[in-house]
Amino acid sequence: MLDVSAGVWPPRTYSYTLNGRSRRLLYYAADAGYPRYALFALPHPKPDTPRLVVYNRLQEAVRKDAERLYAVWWSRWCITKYTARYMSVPRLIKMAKAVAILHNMAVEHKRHGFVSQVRMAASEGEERPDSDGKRTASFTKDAGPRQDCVWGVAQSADDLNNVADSQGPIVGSARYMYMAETEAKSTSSHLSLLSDLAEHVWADRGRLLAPYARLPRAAE
Amino acid sequence: MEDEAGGDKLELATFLAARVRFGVLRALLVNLEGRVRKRVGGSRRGRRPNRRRDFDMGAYSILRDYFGVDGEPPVYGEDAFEERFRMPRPVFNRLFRAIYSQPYCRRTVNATGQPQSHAIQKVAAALRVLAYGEPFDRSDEYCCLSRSTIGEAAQRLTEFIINKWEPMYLRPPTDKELEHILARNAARGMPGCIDSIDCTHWQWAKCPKALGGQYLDRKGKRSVVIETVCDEDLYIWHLFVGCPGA
Repeated sequence: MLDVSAGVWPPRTYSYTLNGRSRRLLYYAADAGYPRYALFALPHPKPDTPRLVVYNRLQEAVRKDAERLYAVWWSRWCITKYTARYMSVPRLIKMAKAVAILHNMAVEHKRHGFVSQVRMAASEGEERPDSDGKRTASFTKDAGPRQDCVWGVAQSADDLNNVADSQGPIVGSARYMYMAETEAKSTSSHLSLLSDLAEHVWADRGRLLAPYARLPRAAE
Repeated sequence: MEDEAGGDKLELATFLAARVRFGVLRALLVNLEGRVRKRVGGSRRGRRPNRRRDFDMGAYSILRDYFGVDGEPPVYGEDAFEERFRMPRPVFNRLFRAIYSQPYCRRTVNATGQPQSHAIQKVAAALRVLAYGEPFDRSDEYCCLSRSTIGEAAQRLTEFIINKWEPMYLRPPTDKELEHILARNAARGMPGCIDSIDCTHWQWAKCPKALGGQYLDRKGKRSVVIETVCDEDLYIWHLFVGCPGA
């Protein structure tokens, strides 16, 4: 969270298009317990249109990863299932970290080094052209960090191209941090993100929701 | 002339660097050891002597059960291995190979000339504690180690894992990985999404009274909040523990 407040994370060099609007602020899928910040894509609180119902269904499916993680983690490393027997918070933190590292190592091995392949490719440090078929056009990466405003409000794709770089506060300055924090935590852009996501999902609902059984009847 | 001066400088630089390195190492060692080691008193006249544990037997039974001795196959196969140690055998081998040469795990000889426990006992017992969440003296009978040894071994193991692998396995994704995450989530229908985030409560039985008010959760129990960010493979990209309960 401190990184987010300081504008360090998430990286600003990616932009993606939703419903014709380009955004820079990447977001997490979270459940309804989180605050309505632009950083999180929460389920819609009151899905009263078919679009919102469909969006909520998909968001639920994406969000489920973290829930699944706890189920797997608790059944695999029972020290986190039972009540913690340590007396100090630092020891609790250490134990959880060590367990997470072991879990990650096991996951990496079981996926046949899939993650490690990505990592090795990353650590080579040379930028290959975008011809590896995994890249899709759903997001683009800029050449370098922009001197521009933090992530920018949602704007139409044409405006984004026309915007002049080298405007806005310097990265790391107090004003920059203030803008970053304001942007990451703005509720209005969170709501517009939700509506844009709902439109995006609705446009392709047949394909996206096919893996998940039982489409809600309202979405038909 | 110049060469000589250069050589002198080089020697001096090497010497200084070695001194600095030595100082840093010593400071690190003091820090680590001083933090980890707890004074338990040692042996004193008139107190109970150490129990006569058969360390060789403990190591032998672990080796016989999971690794095979004397050319025999192990008693338990790969499935049981993964079930008990919660990790596939190559991962265990990797961990063991890394930790084997640590000073704490090496087999030592005590003051009376008796050889002490094996590395495999300590690692196996510490992993039992992590994997089954069992008390420290539970695997005394199997691994033939005392309660305090197992507790210390568990702590050393966690510290070792964190020191060695945290920069590799618990770090923010690099650009390449982030692109992969983005592409994957875009294919699922949420472009621009970097994984899902969630919190859970980890109940804390031994919460000190002084912290009881802070760590009270909404169910009236004492618990610590764990927050993780993970992807579809259940790979943990971010972990945050220790927030006072909400």
